[in-house]
Amino acid sequence: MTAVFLKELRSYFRGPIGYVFIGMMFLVISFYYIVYTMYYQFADYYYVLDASVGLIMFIFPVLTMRIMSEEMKTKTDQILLTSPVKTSGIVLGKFFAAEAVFLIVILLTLIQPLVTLVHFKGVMNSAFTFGGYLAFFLLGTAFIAIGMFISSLTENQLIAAVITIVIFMLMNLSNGLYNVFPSSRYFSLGALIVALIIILFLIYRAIHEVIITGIVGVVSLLILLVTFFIVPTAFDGLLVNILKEFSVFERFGDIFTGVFELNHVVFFLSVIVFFLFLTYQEVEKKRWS
Amino acid sequence: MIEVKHLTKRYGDHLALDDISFTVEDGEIVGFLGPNGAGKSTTMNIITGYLSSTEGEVKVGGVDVLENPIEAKKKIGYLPEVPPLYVDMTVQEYLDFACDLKGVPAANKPDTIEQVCKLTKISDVRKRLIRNLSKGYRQRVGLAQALVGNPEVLILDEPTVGLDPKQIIEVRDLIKNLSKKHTILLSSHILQEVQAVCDKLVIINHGRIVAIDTPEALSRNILQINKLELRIKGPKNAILQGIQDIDGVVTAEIVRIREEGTVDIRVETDDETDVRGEIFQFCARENYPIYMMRTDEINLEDIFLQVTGEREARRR
Repeated sequence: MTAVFLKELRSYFRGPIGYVFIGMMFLVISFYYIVYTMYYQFADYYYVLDASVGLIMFIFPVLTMRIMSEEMKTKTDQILLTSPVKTSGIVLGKFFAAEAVFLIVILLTLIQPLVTLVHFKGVMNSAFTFGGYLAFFLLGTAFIAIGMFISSLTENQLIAAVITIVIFMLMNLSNGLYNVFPSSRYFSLGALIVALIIILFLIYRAIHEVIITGIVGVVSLLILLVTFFIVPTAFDGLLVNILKEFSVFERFGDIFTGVFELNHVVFFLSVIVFFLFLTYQEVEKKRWS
Repeated sequence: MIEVKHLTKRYGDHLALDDISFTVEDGEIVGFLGPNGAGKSTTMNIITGYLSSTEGEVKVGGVDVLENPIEAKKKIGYLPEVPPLYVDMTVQEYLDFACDLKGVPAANKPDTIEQVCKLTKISDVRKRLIRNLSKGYRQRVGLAQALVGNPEVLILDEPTVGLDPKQIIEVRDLIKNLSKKHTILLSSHILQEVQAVCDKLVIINHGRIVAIDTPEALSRNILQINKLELRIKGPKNAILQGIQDIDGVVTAEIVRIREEGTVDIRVETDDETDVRGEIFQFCARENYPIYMMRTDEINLEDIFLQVTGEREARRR
């Protein structure tokens, strides 16, 4: 893992990618620092971090789009996968290298709250600032994990970047989206059936077995319908609640404003681990297809 | 050293490998021969653990590649069809990374790199970016990477493709040299290349093995037609008539006239008859000096075409 980690980290700074990422991130954050701290005189740094997220999500694909795709395209994955290294080591090495570049950004921004403290003699709520950084760190890490998985799906970096941006935008939009959906039980049922169809399609693509996919589909549908007729109240507002549970940005906002709950952190960690696991599966799957 | 048993690989409906079995003994150089798309690279990718087989098993040094991939991969140095090079690195950085990947202890790294560079003759480009290297050098850097960690088995997928004739000879010599310490499986679609270096040939076509044997045995077994080429000084019609009258000669024809007063004749005989003695006696009797006599050079091209063609015909 160390070998892959060091190689990746060096490769970020051998070309422009590392510098571009760090520079753009710093630029966006500094812009909001000027607006919030210097102009509006808000001492608390979390305003800056919170505001910058809307733009920063467009910068992350710079870091993640090439992680897996480039090696597939140039076939350099052959030296990695035929060396005595575990696939998990390769995936984690690459992940931690991107993470390290992100950490450089975080370290650089630390100057700004320090300047606020010392120069502007601002009074800062340390819990808010810490919460802001924690949320920022967790969200960025989740972005990296998700972007890395998307990169493992295609050999084309550009496609990876575009898909990543679209997904991040959807995630951001879904933040307020659940308020728009009706909370009626029929709507929830319909949405779940649509979700089931999508999942079945993905299962079919992965295993290419009509019968197994069919059985899974019929059984899931039966369970769904039976539950619906026995306890219809369970479906009231179900969709809204599910969306709320899975809303990355909603939890992000909570941590930001100092509502520090362990389950938020656990949620982010689960998202990160889940996408790392998917990436690992995708790399392994290629060998079998 | 390498045992491949009943290997089958399916890509969807396409059968890329169909029940392939062969072994490579310790210290042998085995040539893996077949036209493009025959399944050579797929087989090699499975042996090295890059791909998984649909059915069958592969053991390298007694270790199953699927069950214990890390141990098996430690024994293998692999040069894929496209050398897996990071073009933004220098040769030195790349080999350094290869050492790390293959678990070469930090203390041995400088020596290891020195050694593989010397073997593959890339010492003079160590500080250059791989991006700026010529194809021949890139190929050799790929080979150097495969040699890192001194693996017992070397798997080389078309190692001389894209090289100029001088480089081909160099790489061929290098492979011969390496075979003293390594077991080598090497693929090619060029016959002369494997003929020159290999102890054994595995010929593959459409995902099936069509023949396994030594290059010599393959030539003996398969080519049965006796063909001679002669250059004799004397009157051409008399010579032709005389040769045609010899027992066992099926056809004799004048091919060309190269030297003043001589004639070049191609003679085909029965499979089992050797008429070289009779021809000599005939010419001595008539006092026609023989300037040249040679059997047709049998090359693997013929064997290959014959073997694959025959199977092809049989299947139809």
